[in-house]
Amino acid sequence: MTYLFYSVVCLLMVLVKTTLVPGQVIFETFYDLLIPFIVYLGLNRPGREGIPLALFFGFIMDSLSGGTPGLYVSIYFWIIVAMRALSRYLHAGNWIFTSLAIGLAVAFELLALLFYLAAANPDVGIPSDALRIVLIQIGWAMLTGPLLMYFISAVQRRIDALRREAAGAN
Amino acid sequence: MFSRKSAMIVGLIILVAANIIALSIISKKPYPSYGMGQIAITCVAPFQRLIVRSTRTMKDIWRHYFSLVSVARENDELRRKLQRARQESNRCREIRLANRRLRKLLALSQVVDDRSLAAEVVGKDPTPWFKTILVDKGRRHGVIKGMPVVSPDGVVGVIIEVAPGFSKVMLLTDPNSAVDALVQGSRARGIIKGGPEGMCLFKYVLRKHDIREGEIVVTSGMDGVFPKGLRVGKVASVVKEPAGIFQHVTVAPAVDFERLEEVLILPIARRQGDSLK
Repeated sequence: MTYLFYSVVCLLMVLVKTTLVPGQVIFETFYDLLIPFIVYLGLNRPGREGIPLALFFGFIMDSLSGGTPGLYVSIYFWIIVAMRALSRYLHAGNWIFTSLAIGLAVAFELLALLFYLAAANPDVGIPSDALRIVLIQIGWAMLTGPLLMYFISAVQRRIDALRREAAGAN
Repeated sequence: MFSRKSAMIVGLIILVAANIIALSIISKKPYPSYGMGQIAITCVAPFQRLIVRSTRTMKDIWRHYFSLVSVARENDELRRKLQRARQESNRCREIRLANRRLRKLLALSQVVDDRSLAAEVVGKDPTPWFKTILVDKGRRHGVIKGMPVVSPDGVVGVIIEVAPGFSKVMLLTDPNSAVDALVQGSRARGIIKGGPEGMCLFKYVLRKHDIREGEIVVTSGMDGVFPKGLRVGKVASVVKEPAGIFQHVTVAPAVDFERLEEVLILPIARRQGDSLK
């Protein structure tokens, strides 16, 4: 049930990013919508559940984007590992902490992608407007990411309740 | 001998290093892809096609029926005619120049019209940093990796991943893209690479060539991928540094990638002489 929910959500987010958003003014300023999900999985779910899902998200993104295969898998893997480490020291339910965690994850993703771009094509380098895009994306992620996480959390609680009910019935 | 913490730090460093090395090795390939990627494309692309077609239908209904029906239709027709005329004009100019230089051996093969395949754009790259699109033709339709993709306006890109019913196209503006091209007037040759802000860089053009802004850049046919004479774009800026053997040329692509809806997949131009008829 949990895996199905996250797979469907992943598909929906990817469809929004690849069909509806491109060509719109917000495209460049809109962050990776899967990041709040990975942050949520890292902070709130067990590793055996979160890590395979993060790798699955990365695989989908790698397949649809023009980057080298394994790039998104690596990025998402390190984000979830970092979030799991952070969750040991900080309180995951705090709104400010959640916002910061999502901002950091988006910043890490963008920096990794820009580093890859610069390393793979030294003559082209980093786009001149990269800093502006990075800052806007981080800002948007910090503002709206916690809302997405709140939604995931609510659905996840419902799934857990259903699972408990089913276990109780058996 | 080592504490648990030290072992974890060393393990982490090794894992990071291994990750970076693996990515560097994979990215050295000209068209990096992996077989499993086709599965994801096959699963996601049908939904993308459904959404794109629904969106287009909605847009068309709005444009054609609720707002200035006849004007929109006339505009569509004129646009199509203009595209055809542009392509025709470009073709004629290429042929005239070739004849002037008495290149009688120009192989005017039936590359485009015989074996080309029309495809619809069903999805775009999920990030603004890479420039790829998904089209609704794949291995089932005879598409193979490395095939050139064009539109009536000019060069679009090259096929980099093929699934049974869909393919991924690396656009001309992607930083990893490289197309052998020449300036139509001066015949100065170089490599077109994706540059910043939707522009292309015309690399390795010798300083001795006199290139002016607004000149048309076409494919040279020397890369064994694109047929000769396809429109790439227009020279947007030329900078000659005081030193160095090359000049810095920026090219504005002929194709508007934001509005791209249909493309044509061509067979690979294996011979240098392959040219557009």
